[in-house]
Amino acid sequence: MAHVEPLTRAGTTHDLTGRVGRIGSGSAMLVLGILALAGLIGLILKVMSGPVPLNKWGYTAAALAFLLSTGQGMPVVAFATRLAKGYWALPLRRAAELGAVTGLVTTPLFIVLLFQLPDFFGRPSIWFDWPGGPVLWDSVAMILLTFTGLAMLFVSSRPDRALSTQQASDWPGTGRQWDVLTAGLVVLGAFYLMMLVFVHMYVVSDLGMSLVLGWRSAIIPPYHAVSGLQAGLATTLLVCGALRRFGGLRRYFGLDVFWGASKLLLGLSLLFFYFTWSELLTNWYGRTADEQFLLDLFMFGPYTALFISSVLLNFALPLALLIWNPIRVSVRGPIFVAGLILLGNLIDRLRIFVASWSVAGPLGPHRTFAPPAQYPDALDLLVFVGAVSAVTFLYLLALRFVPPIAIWEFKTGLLLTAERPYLKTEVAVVAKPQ
Amino acid sequence: MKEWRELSSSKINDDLLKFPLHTPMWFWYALAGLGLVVGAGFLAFAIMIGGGLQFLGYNNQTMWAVLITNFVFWIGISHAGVMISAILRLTQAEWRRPVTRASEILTVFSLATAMLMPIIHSGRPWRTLYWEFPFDFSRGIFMDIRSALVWDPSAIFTYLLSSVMFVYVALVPDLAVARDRSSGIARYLYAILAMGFQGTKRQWRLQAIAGILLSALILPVFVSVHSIVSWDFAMALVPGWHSTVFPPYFVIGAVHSGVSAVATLMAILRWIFHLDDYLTDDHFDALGRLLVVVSTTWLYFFGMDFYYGLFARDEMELGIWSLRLFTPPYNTLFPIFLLAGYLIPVPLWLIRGVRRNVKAMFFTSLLVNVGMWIERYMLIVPPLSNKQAFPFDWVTVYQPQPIEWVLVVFTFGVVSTGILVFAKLFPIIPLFDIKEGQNLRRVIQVGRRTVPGVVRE
Amino acid sequence: MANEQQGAAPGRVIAGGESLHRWGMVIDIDLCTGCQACVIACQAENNIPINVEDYFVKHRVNQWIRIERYWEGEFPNVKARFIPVLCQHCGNAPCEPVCPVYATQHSTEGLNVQTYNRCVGTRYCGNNCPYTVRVFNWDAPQWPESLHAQLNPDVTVRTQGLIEKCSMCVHRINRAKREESRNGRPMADGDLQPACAQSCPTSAIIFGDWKDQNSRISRLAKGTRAYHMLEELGTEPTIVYLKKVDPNLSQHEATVSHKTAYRPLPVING
Repeated sequence: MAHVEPLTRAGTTHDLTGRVGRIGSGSAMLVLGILALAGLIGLILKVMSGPVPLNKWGYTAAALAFLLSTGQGMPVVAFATRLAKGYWALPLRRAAELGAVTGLVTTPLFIVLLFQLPDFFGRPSIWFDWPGGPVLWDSVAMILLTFTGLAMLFVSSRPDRALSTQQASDWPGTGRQWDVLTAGLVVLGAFYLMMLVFVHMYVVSDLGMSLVLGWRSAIIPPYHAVSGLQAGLATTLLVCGALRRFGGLRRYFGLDVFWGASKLLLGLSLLFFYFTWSELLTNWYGRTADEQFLLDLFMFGPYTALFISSVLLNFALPLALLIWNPIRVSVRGPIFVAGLILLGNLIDRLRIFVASWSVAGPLGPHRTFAPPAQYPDALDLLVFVGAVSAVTFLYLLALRFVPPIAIWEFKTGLLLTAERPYLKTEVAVVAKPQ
Repeated sequence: MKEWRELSSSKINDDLLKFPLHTPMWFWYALAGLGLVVGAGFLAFAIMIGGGLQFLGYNNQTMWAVLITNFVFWIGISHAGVMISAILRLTQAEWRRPVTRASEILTVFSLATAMLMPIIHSGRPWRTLYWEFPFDFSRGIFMDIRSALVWDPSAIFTYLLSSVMFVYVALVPDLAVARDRSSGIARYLYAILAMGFQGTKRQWRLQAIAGILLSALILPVFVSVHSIVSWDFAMALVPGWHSTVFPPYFVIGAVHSGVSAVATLMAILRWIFHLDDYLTDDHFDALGRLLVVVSTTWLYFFGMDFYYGLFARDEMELGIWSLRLFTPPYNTLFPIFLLAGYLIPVPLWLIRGVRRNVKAMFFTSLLVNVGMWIERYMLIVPPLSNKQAFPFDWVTVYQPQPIEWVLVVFTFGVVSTGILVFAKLFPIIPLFDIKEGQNLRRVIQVGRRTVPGVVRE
Repeated sequence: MANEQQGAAPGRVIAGGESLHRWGMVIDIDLCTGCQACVIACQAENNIPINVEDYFVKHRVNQWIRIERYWEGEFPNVKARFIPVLCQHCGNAPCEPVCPVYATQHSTEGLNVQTYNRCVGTRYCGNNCPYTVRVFNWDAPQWPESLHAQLNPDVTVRTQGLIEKCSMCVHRINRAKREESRNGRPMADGDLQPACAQSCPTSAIIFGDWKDQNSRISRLAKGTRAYHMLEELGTEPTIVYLKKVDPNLSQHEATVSHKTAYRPLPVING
C-alpha cells in the first residue's frame, strides 16, 4: 500500500522555501560555466571554418537532438501527469518543468545548424518551396517552444515565488488567480506538447531525413518524438534522483514517485521498440534499392554497433529490468534504467544524425552504398560537452530562484489525501476533484 | 466526479439481472429482425461459394476492397474492449467499471465477425483451413510464415482467446449471483459456468490476480493485432500502402473507432435497459475526454502519413494522393471522412454540455465510425486502382456491388445479434465491479467542500 | 543494375539453388507491332477462357500476356507505342513472400511458378505484383461447345477462385527436357519456344537460357538498349526489354531514365 510520509503543510512550506538558493555549489557552477563558454568558442570556430564539408556538422546536430529529447522533453512529464491526475508525480513536476531552460541553449544551436544546411532547392523538404522554409519557420517553432516552456515554469512557480519572497502582495492567491493558474497550466502544457512534437518533426526532417535521398519514412517524426519523451522522463528521474541524494529532499521523493514513473518508462521503452521495429520491418520487406540503402546506412552498415546498443539500452535492458517487481518498485532501479535510457538516446541520436550528415555531400543520384563511419573530432566533443554544461548550468541557476518542488502542488496532494478506515485497516484515500 | 447515488447491493442485483432473468417480448422481435440480416449475409456467402467472386465489384487491379475494409473496420472496433478494460484498469481509472463488460463483449463479437471477412473474401473459402492453421504436416504443407496473412490469424486468434478469457474471468462472480437467483435449467447452466464460485477470500484473490495478469498480458496482443493488420498493407509494395507509419497509425485509429463504438453502445444500452443509474453522464463525459486525446493523436498520425506521402515527391505516391483528393468519387469521400472522423465530433467533445448529453454523444460517436469506415476504404481502394507504374491498366472507378453492401450490413447484424444474445444470457454491466467501486469510495472533507475520493489499490 | 555499357543481366535469383538452366526472355520493343498474336497464342496454348466484352468493361480480362498500347505526341504526329507485358518471373519476386500457403514459389530454373491446387485465393500476390500480371478467376471458366476439343491436354484447366499467370509455358519446357533425355542430345538454343515467342511474326519475343552464354538472349542483353521493367523496385526480373529506337529523340532524352522522382539537382559546394 502506497503511503505518503507524514508531512505537515506548514512544515513543507518552511522546509522548501528555505532550500531555495541552497542547491548546487558555486564552484560546480563556475566549472560548468567555463565549459559552456569553451563549447561556445568551439561552435564559433566550427562556424568560422566554413560550411564544407557538411559531415562535420553531424555530431552537432546529434547534440541538439539529444538536448531536445532530454531537457525539452521534461516539461511534458509535468503536463501529462497533471492531465491524468497522477498524484504520484506531484513532487517531480517542478524538476520536470525546470527542463524548459534547455530551450535557451537549443534555440541558438538550432538556428546555427539551419544556416549550415545546403540549399533546399532540388531536395525533398517538408517545407516544399514555401518562402522562409526551413530557416524561418523552424526557428519560429523552436523559439515558440522555448518561450512556452519558460512561460509554463513562470506560471507554475508563481505561488511559490510569492511564498519564498514573502511578498504576497503581488500575488495574494485569490480564487480567480488560482483558477487562471490551473487553466493556464493545462493550456500551456497542451501547447507545449504540440509544439514539442512539431519541433521534433522539424529537427529530424530538416536536419536528418531531407539530407538522405530516398528516406521518406513517415514514422521517423513520431519515433523521434516518442523516444524524446522517453528520454525526457528518464532525465526527470535522474534529476529527481540527484535532488533526492544531494539536495536533501529524500523525504519528498518517496517510493511512489519512482514506482509511478517506472511504469511509464516501461511503456515508453516498449513504444521505442515498436516504432523501430515498424521501420525496420517495412524497409526489410520493401527491398527496393532505396530501402536497402537505408538499412545499410542506419542499421546494418557502418553504424551497426550504435544501432544494436541503442536498441539494447532503450528497449531490451529496460524491459528486462523493469519487468521485475523488486526493481520496478524501488528507488534505485528506475534511476539506473533511466541512466541506461539516457545513454541509449544519445547513441540513437548519433546514429541518426551523424549518418544523415555523412551522406549529405554534393547530392547526386540515389546512393547505393553507405559512406564509412564518422568519428568525432576535438571540436565536436567541445561543442557537445559545452552544450550539456550550459544546460546544467542554467538548470542550477534556475534552482536558485525557484524551490525544487512545487510547494503549492505538493500541499494540494497533502490536502486531498487522507487516511480512512477500510474494512479492518487504514488506507490512503485520494480525492479526485473535477 | 459528481455526486453519485449510493445503490444498495440488492438493488444492483435486481436492476442488472432483470433482463437476463425475465424476457420481454421485444427481445424476440429484435432477434428475428437481426436473424433476417444475418441470414441475408450467409445467403450472399453461399451465392459466392457457388458462383465465384464475380458478383463483387472487384477487378484485376482492385483485388481487395469492401470486404477487407470491413475486416479492418471490425478489427478496429475490437480494440475498444482492451482499451477500456485493460488500460483503464492498469491506470486505475474509476469510471471504467460499468463500461468494461460491454466493451469486452463488443471486442469478442467484432473480432469473430472480422475473422469471417477474409474467409468470405477468399477465392476458395473451403480451402482456407490450411492457411489459418498449421495442420497438414503429413502432406508437407505448412503456412509461409513470411506472409503477413499468416501473422494475421495467429494474432487474431490469440486476441480472441484472451478476450474470451478476460470476459469470462470477470463474469464468474456475476454468474454465481445469477445462479443463486435463477431456477430450473438456467440455474443448472449458470452453476456449471460459475465453476463453484462461492465468494471465499481465496476465490476473490484468484479472480483479481487473473484479471490483472490478463490485463497486462493482453496489452502486447492488443497492439500486435492491429499492427499486423496494418502490415498486411505495409509489407506490400503498393504505393500508398508501403508506409512505415502504418502500425501506430492503425492502432490509434482502431482505438479511436473502438472507443467511439463503446460510446454508441453505451447510449443504446442505457436507452433500452434504462440503466441511467449505472451509465451516468459522468461516464459519457470521461469517454468524451478520452476520445479527444485519442482522436487528436490519430489525426497526428494521419497527418504524418499524408505529409510524408507528399514529402518525397514520388510520382506514384503523389498520384495516389491526387486520386484520393481530386478524383470522383474519392474527392467527395475524403472531406466526408475528415469531417465525420475528426472535424465535427472533436470540437463538439470539447464542450462539456455535449459530453454529458447522451444523445449528442450517440450521434457524434456514430459519426466517427462512419468516418473511420470511409478512412479504411480510402486507405485500401485508391492505391490499388493505380498501383502500376504504367497507366495502361489503371482503374479509377471501382463500384461496390449490392452483394458487398449486404455483407457490410451483415457484419453489423452479426455483432448486434451477439451482443443482444449475450445480454440476454448474462448481465451486461458487471455487478461485482460496480459493488467493488462503491466499496472503494470514500469522502474527503477539504475545507468546506466534500470531495469524493477513491481508495488506492 | 543495367547501364549503358554492360546491358542488362538477368535478375539474381534470390530463392532457389543452382541448376542447369535459367530461363528467360528478351523482348524487343522496337520490333513489336502490337499485333496481339502472342496474346491469342497464349490463350489457345494455356486454356485461358474466352475474354468477352463484359470482362474488358469490368477490368477482369484473363490474359497472361497483354500488349500495352500508349499514344505519344499530339495529332497529327501521333505515335503508337506497344509493350508486351507478362509475368517477369522476378528473381526477388514481391508476390512470393506474401502468399500464406506457398502457392507461388520460385523454381530452381528461375521460374515463378503457381501451384493452383494450393491457392486459396487471398489475392495478396495480385496486389503486390507491381506489373499487374496476375489474374484472378472471378468465375468458373467456360468455353463454347465448339472449342472443347481445342483445349490443350498438357495444361490444366483452372477453376474459379484462384490466381493464375504466365507459366512461361512450363509444360513445353518439361516436354523438351523429357525429349532431351530420351534423345540423349542437348537441346539447342531456339529449339524450345513458348507459345508467344513462337507466334510472334516479327520475332520480338525471344526465349532462351541465361546460363548459356552464347544463347541469343544472352547476346542481345549485352547491348546498350537492354533494361529491366521497373528496375528501381529491385525485383530482379528474368525478362529483359530492349528499348525502342527512336531517331527523333535527342541523345539526351534517349538516356534519361523514365522515372525521375526529384527535380534536377544543383551542384552544391562547387
